[in-house]
Amino acid sequence: MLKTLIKKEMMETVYDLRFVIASLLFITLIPLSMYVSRIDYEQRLSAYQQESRIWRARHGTPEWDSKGHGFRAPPVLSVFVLGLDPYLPDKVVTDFSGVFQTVKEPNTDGALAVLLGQIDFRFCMVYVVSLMALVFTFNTVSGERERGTLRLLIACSVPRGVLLFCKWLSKTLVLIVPFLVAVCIALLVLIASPQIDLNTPQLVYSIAAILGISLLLIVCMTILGVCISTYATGSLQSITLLLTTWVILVLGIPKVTPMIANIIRRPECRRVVSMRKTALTEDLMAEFYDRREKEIASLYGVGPDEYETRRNGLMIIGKHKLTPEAFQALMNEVKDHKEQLWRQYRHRIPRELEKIEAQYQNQLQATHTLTMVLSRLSCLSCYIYTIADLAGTGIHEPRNYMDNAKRYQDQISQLLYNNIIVHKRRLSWEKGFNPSQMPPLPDMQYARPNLKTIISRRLWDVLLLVFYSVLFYSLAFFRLLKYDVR
Amino acid sequence: MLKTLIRKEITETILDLRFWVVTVLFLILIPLGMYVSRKDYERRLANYQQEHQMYRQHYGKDTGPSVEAQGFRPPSVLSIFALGLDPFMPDKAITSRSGLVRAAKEPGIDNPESLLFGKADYLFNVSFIVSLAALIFTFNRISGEREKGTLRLMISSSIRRGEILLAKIVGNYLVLLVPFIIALLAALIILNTSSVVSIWSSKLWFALLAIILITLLFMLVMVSLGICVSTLTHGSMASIMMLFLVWVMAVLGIPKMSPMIAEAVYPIESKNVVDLTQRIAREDIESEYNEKKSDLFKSCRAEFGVTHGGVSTRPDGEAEEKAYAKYDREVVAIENECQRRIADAIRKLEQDYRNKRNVQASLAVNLSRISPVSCYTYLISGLAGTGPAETDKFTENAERYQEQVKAAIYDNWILKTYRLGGSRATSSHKVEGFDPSNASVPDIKYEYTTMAEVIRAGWVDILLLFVFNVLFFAIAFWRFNKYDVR
Repeated sequence: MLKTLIKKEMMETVYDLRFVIASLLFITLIPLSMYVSRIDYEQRLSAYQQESRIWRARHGTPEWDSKGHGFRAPPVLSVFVLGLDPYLPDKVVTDFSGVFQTVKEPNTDGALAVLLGQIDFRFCMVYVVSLMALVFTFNTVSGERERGTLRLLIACSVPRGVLLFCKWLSKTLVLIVPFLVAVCIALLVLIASPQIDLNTPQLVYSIAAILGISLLLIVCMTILGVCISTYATGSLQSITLLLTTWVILVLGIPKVTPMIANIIRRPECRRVVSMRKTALTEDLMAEFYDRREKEIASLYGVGPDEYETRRNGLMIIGKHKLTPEAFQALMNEVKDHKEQLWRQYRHRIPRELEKIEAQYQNQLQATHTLTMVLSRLSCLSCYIYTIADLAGTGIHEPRNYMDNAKRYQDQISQLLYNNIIVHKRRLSWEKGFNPSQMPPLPDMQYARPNLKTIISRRLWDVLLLVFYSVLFYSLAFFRLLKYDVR
Repeated sequence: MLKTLIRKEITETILDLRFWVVTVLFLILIPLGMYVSRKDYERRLANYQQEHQMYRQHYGKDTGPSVEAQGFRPPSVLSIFALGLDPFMPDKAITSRSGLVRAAKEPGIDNPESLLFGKADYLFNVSFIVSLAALIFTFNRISGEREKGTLRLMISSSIRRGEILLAKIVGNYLVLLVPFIIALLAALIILNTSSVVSIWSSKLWFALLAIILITLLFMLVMVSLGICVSTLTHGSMASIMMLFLVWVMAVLGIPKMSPMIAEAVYPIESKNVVDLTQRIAREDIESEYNEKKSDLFKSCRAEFGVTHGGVSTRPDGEAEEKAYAKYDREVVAIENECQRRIADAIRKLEQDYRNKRNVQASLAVNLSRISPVSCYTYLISGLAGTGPAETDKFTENAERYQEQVKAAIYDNWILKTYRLGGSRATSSHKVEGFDPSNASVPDIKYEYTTMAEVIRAGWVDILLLFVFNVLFFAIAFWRFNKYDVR
């Protein structure tokens, strides 16, 4: 009976105009969006490589005031989900003060793409596939009731639970076919790119995970469509309910909840935090110069950068008149004191800045938690969080970027800045350090979390998708048990 | 007869479940969207004011010869209606003595979820939700009546088909207007309760009126499209399928694909790379002319027999004074030539880039105008001050600010640099009558695109919206004349 019912439903669906339209839409939009995403990625990659190459050719060799430039390569899987990638900084610029700067060139190259929105795989899934899943299934029960065939089925002692299951399963299977065909074509489009190498296991598993989660979303949406169908007595009612539900789930909840969370828990703006950090750095540097001058003057009776004069075989500096040997000994003491003081500030400045950053991150975290809780009312939000993280363009990526930037700053500090001593008008090197023997400044090794970490972070969202599927199915089941089939 | 038909349509629509669902959606989403957009604008404005204030407190009195003045861009009030390109636009313009003004954008992500899901501003609500609602209202007005059997009754009463069609469009349009206007009024009340926004200000009022009128025109286009779709099918189910296909292509597909197709067909170099190339060109030319200056300085010193000592800003002795005086006279021509060459090189690169970018943008805009949603988006974002024209407007404002700071500060300092081999000495002194302690860094007077400029640039889009109306009506009329009403 089960097989017969499934076959019947599948035949009915395949002969429906909806199947043709769904197939047309999927096979057009998904590969086309993959193609344009691929071209966009290739352009971003090329721009990154060109910028990095030009900079290294001109500034790679360390100099007195070298600032390391760490460029961020676009993630390969941003072809699936562009996510936060356009908003992330392009590069990190290190500094001897320990304060790195993240730079985002205000690039409005693709102003129209930004204005009209960009189409990627995520977009196709959220707006097109989810809608088609609902359209496929919205009148599964109510439509059959309108046609009069539902009462015949029930009259043949077909258990309602079996009926529901068959309807849902067959619709899902039929919908998945054009989707998988479209995805295969899209993957071929991706593989055809000379700049994208999908041979690494991490990438293959990530793509498999993205496709797996996408199939889970399709299952969830088809169950939702069947559920809606059990709450309506006719197709028109079903379509109205369907659209309302879709608008709320796709357009309403995900878009409104972050803004509501931001209103309830308003964090300070990043721009203001950056300005506070810059101002603090300048204040601390001014304090350093001031303290250096006062301490050297009071302890040694000379200015920290004062020059000596020679007269009658004696060295005259400040209030001292010394023999060359005594003068050298004094200068060595002054130099040691200056270096010690600079080392204190070299560690203090980043520490103070870390405090400001930590405070800001705590505020962000509070807002973020509230947003996650509110937005997860929609299964589409759970889906978007998961695949964006898998693609390396999700909400954890800004934090990941800052960690990479800090690591790069520490790396350059180890190689170069820890050997610099700051004076008022010049820099000097630590004893024994020879900058001309240094290799070129290294590239930033941008690390992304592995698949295991991402899955463990997003486990709740995946479980929620499963939960929503079970919930909608249960609601549909209970509703169908009481459904008037006449 | 027309009045009777319109009244019939209105009554029928009001009694339909769709009307009530759409009313509830409009009454929730539009005011809510306006509220969160208003809060978002208030936050952006507060951040701008805070950053501006901090800047003036810390750096406002720094009027030294090489100061880099910062001009902050305030958020546009009407960005509440359409966020558009605002998140991607530079936050500030930074001037420099060399004449090169650069745009800077703080690369912070304060609300990653909001960026990931997208914002639900007025433009989004109308483009997606109102357009979908308009199609839902009208998709089965013809095909549904045919199914019910009432269409043949009407035709058999010798009612002209044109009148029936017109009555359906007008009736449904009027009914759709009611919940929209109520929701819009609620949204405007919410907007007016803000302490930082007054909709009654003359600057805002005309733009607001234009936005509302264009929205009403857009809604008429969508209603006409819905009726047109209904005449192309013979049943409700077929109508709904066709509707979804049309909606997905018109709202989601065409606007989003066009810029990316244009990028793929006519790729251009990224702005980051162009900026870097400009910077390199400038550095190379400056380096070349620095050598010439160094040679000139050497020859001037040699001419007056100055062969000893390093370079300093204070000539020591009569011979050095004469050498310095001659150098000061002759270096002007070299500096002017250097500046001219730099300006030419940068202008050429900038012009090349702009020409290519304009070709690409033109291709994208023309492709996207196949969809009325694109026309609507360009108009509303233009009126809101967040459209594609704002990128060039920012450059205009930045250049004007550079001139302002040049007149207020840079031209009041005379900088002299003396180079000899790898050494360099720079001196600066103020022009007579200039008192740096009484001067302050000027503020930028940022001007957004005026309404007249927007209308001048967007008249094609307004015309296209009218054309779409006429086109859809014409297709519907032609099709309905051949429509089988049995």
